[in-house]
Amino acid sequence: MPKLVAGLQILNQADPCAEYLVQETGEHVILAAGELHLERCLKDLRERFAKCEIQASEAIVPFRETAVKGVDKAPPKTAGAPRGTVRTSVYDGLVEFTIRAVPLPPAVTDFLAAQQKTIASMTLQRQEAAEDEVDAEAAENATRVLTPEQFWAELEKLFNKAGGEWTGAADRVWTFGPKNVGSNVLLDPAGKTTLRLRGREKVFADARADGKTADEALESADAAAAAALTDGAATASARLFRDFDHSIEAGFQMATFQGPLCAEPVVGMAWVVDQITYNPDEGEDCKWRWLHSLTPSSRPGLGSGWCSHFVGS
Amino acid sequence: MYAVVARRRGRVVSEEMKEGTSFFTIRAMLPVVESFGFADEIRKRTSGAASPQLIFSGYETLDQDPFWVPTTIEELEDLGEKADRANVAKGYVDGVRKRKGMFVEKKIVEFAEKQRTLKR
Repeated sequence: MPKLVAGLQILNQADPCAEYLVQETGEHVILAAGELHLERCLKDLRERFAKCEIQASEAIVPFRETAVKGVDKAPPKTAGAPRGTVRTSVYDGLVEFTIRAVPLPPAVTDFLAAQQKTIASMTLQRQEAAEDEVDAEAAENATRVLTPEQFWAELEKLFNKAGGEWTGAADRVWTFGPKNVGSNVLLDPAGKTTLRLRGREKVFADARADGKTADEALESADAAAAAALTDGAATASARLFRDFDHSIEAGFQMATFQGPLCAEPVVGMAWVVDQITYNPDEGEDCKWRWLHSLTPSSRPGLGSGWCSHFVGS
Repeated sequence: MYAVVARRRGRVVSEEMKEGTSFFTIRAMLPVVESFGFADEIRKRTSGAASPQLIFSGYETLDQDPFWVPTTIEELEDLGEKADRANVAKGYVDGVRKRKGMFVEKKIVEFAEKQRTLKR
């Protein structure tokens, strides 16, 4: 094995057309320029670089998973709800949530796929703004294709064009996935007032204009939102749901990175978190445990909600 | 050449003839998973007259449901219970799952010699 790894590294250096990398799954993969080139690389490996017997697997073909609206399907799994809804609960009913999986309109999927760099640089800028040191101008001009304002404006236009349940969805986008930059979205239900990605962009832009740091701006925005909730119980539950957010987001990123069909990345799906209910029958001491179980259970929920759609790959 | 492309679930996008020569430039889209051995086969079939170049162009939805199970009588007769032969999407999905070591639902025939008596 060490001979193989050493040989692969030599191959990587010796041949400019061949690349060697270790994937996240732990597989050692050779990237070559065609079948003949690959055969030649393997021959070189066996005879010159690694000088040991090698077993090569079949070529890896990357796939993407998605779902589309189909006709003529079996009745949906969750009776009485639109197709793709899943109601799951965690920890014996302590937290129940309803998530709905819907295919994105194709125009939106294409747009998001083309704007990966923009989304990535927005995420990067958000992190840099939190560190408070970076020259915002340089970050903007460096790798961006569109400015955030242009991106969100275009996304809103596409959503409104798709119509129906998608109007106003640009404001409800919670996050993109997989890896925060893909072409799937996690949405809040209509009517929720939490400050999500687009709202936060505006907050940061105002903060830069005023000379405040990102953290200060966020705090003041949260305080303003909290003040708007005059009911004391509502404030407490809002704070609680913010704790759930991270778990659901993590479950979403995991589910989109490895789709339910064959663990390949997902493209072009939207998940709407319709409802989260917290049933505090178990008492306060259970709280630290549900955060951990929420993440892995939201992931199969997201997957099964989707499988009831017509699926293509 | 068209037969090779069609057999591998590809489609021809455009054909142009180069002026002044007798060469045609044919562009076709082909799924990557069916492109192994494509160059060799094309050369063999056209006796060296065609030389292919393969460039990655993107992802496209395959218009089949991997979970589709035949329901009408004709389909059941033609394809059996699980329709493994005709359902390409299911074939691809199972292939990837097998490669990753995930669970694959298949019918494994245990005793291939057992026969049903058909005449009675």
